[in-house]
Amino acid sequence: MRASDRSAIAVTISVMLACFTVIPLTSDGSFIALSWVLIIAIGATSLGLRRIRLTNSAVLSAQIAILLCYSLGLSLTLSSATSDLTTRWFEHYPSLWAQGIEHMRTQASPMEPDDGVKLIFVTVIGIIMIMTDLLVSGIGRPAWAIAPPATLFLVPALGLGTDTGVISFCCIAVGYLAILVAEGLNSTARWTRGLSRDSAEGFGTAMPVVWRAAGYLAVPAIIATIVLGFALPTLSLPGFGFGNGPGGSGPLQLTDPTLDLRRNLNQPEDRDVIQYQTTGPGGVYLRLASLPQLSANGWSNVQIRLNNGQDLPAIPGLSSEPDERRTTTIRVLDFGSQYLPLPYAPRTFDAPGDWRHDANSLIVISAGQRVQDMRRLAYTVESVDTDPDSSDLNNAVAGTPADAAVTAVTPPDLPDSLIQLANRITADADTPAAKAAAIQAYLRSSQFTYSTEPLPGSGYEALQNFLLRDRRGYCEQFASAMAMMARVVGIPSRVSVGFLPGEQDQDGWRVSIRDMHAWPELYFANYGWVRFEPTPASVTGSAPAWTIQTEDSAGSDPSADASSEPTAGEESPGAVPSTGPTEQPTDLGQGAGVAWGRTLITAGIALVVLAILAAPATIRVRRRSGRLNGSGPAEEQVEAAWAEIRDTVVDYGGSWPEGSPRAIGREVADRLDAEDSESMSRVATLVERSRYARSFDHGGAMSELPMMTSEIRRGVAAPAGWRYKLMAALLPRSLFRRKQKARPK
Amino acid sequence: MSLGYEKAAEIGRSPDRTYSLGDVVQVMGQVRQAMENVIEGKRSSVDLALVVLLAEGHLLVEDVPGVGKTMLAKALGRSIACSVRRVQFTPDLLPSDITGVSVFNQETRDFEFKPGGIFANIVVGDEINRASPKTQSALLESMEERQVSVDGTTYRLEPPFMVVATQNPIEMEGTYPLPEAQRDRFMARIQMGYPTPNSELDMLESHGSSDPLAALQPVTDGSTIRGLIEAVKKVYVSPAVKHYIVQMVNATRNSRDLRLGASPRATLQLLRASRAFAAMSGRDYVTPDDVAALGVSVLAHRVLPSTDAQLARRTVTDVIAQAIQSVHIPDRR
Repeated sequence: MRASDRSAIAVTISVMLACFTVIPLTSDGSFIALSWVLIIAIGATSLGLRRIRLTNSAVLSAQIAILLCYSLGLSLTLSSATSDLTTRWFEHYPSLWAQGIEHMRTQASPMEPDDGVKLIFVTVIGIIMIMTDLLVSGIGRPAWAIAPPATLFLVPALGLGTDTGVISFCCIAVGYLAILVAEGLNSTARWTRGLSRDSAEGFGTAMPVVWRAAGYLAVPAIIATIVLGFALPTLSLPGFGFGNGPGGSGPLQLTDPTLDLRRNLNQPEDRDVIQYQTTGPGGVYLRLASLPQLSANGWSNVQIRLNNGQDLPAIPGLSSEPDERRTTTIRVLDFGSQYLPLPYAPRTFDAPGDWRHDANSLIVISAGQRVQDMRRLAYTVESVDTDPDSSDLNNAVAGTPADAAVTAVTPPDLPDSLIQLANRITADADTPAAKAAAIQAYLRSSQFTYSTEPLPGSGYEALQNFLLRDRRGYCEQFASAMAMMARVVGIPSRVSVGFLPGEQDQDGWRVSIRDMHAWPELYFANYGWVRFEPTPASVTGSAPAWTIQTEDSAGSDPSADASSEPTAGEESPGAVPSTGPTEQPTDLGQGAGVAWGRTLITAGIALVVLAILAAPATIRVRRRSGRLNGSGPAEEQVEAAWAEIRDTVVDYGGSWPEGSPRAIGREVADRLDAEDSESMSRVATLVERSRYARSFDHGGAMSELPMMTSEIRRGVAAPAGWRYKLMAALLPRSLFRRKQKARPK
Repeated sequence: MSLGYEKAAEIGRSPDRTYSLGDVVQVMGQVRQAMENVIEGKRSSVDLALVVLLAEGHLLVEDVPGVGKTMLAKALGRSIACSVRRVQFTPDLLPSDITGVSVFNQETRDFEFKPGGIFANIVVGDEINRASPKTQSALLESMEERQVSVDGTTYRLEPPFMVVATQNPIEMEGTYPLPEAQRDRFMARIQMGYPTPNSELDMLESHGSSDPLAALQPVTDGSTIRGLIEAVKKVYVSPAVKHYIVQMVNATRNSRDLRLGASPRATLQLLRASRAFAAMSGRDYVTPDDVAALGVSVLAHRVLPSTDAQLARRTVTDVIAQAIQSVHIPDRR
């Protein structure tokens, strides 16, 4: 077998194995077979064309052509075959990509099957195959062949919170091993063929360079990976399950709205996603969805019956509907969702498209159009404010909603510790509203810390982690904990997901991606579903007025009143509630709920980055002080000083000549002024003597060695420009200096 | 002045006193100065001749006629108060002219040994490649053995014993080129080269009216030189430098440009020459610089260039210099 054949086969096997690492991302494994066909085609191209000794560029062009054809062909077969598709493929292909990207953005892993995603996966794997083949067979750098498949591995490894598993890693490792083994066999063949000594020597000297280069790159990369791995949010969402159920009128898949919550809260850059103007006072919470079911998996969707029409049914549980209507004009910017953001309680809306609604939760769901159709959507909604009066609510009793079978049930397997906690908190409260207020006050107390990095876990475990152990979490944990405890004390509850009111400017309200929020809704007879706000004030401002008991012993801040009803024009700088506070992790120092965890991680990352940046300088300084500390035998001291002078010369951009100490000393001395050059000659003589003389007789010059060394170092540094000086301090070239090997010129 | 030879039984005379490296520097400085009165602007050639003297080797001076080859040899001989013989090699020179011959003495009715031209401390063999190979061999054998056997009697040549042979480049007419086996016995080869214009001007000034060679007075004697030779032998060569020497010689053997590399004898002579070179700098240890400085002179006349190198018009000197440069200089003990 020829060397090129062996490389091509090894690369093919390696990338085929690497495909398995992506499996955790999607529930549709069919992309594997499709990718394998492509990989084998590309591998065979490489094998065949390299056999007839075509150049790299020719092979690469052929491979890219194959990839493009395959990708296009795949897009045609994947789409539901419409007749004009063959003529309009150039529109269809990009849209399939866009669909896939959108799908990935909006779905959590494992993703539902999607044609766009399949196309993307297969194409990306093809690209990785080409890159790997180029590295191994094209430019003969098999040691680098780990890089392309490793990117496949890193996507699930970094993107998924869960362990990616040993199998995935083994796939990559075995594939890489295959490439290295093939290369080992090739080089053995090279040796035994005995063409010439030079090829053997070339191999011998090239490998350490590759290893060293890989080392320089790999070590920071591994450090960065570990750091990022800790810092990046994982997508596992404690307390919330995957509540996908078919819609009442068709097989409509409901996505879990909480999945995006944490990701959006941690968006590196905040961006506006919704703008709205509203006629009523203050901003409104824009609700996307409600999760009514509590189970061992946490809060989730249930099967719901969807109705047509843009007029919504009566508000559940509300005895008398207020006459006053609030008209809100909403414009969705860069945000995709199948739920329509609406203020509670919506009465009518006029969004274009096919929308269905649920009578119990009053949520509105897209029926048919794709998620990206939500973008640029503009619509008007009429709603009524159902906020109860504080004193009235105090006398309310917990009601029985229409879907009480779901919303009023305490799961039988709910851990006792959680039940006991709920009962203990509410022991002093006598009415349901007082109990709810007590729970909210408890969660808003300083015992709890707002953090987007809660302890991992799911279902009851997450609730226990949050309430009993860590007491750190974000709106999801607060909302689900309060809703759970409300159930325990007999109040029907559900968790809603949506947006905080956002920030007001002259044109209206702007809601950003980090305003995404979750809150509990509790059901009271005659009042219907009432919003509570257990998430700390640092994020949400003060609790709604009706949720605060004036005689409440838990002692939350009774003064503020404005969270849900902020009046435009009233706000003072820094008055969090009126400006529609955002769930920004940087929003620190506004109370007890400071995100210490996040601060620490940010600080930690900053420190690590600083440490990485400072590492070369530190290593260099340490090396220098180790060399010049004046300990050890005289010979070693002289050699250390010599090495230090060499590194200094290299650091400041000079070249270190090849040759004997005397020759080097002469050449370097020529670059220095008279006094320093005298020192340089003396040090060179010392080195020569220590290396070649029978016994090292330094004639008392050792005491002057440190002085001479520092003189020479100063002399070397003096004429260098500031850029060289900066480089010498921060990124000393000597650290990257290769060991000089004798090489014929 | 001694006869310059001893019977084999009488060898092993130790020098009168022990000499230090300081003496080497001083005495050699005097000799150098004396020689430079005669040979202007040829410091490196003069030094190399002295190195070969101290290292107990023989010197081959090669260049076109008239550049001072013989002058160098003579100047060396005159500067030292020891026996100096000059043998002009011609095609009809016989081996017995070199080694000597046993002649029947009518009075004593016995054979009496008449020593030939080789019996001296410094033998100047002029135009050595003009003699027949047979005669060349006679000289070269005694050079290596440092003894002469005539009619079953072995005569030991008294140290210091140094042959300074001059030869014209082999392309010249009427020459018998020295076989490589014989060239190998010379420790070093000097190519004199033309003097610089300034030196040539000086030469016109000083040599124009008088013969400076005649004015040259000996500044030392054979016994001192013997002592200095002993002192040079004590110069230390570290293992790293020995390794370097071996590497350098190996580089000539592995060079693609050379058909024949240097012999192990060359390795040994390079070591000895390096010792002498170090001693003349007043150092009691050899550095790689010493070895490298002598590399071309010691190695170049022993090797044969490959056809490729010849076609590419690369001189042996260049090839050797390149080979020397390719050897990594030892950076630890």
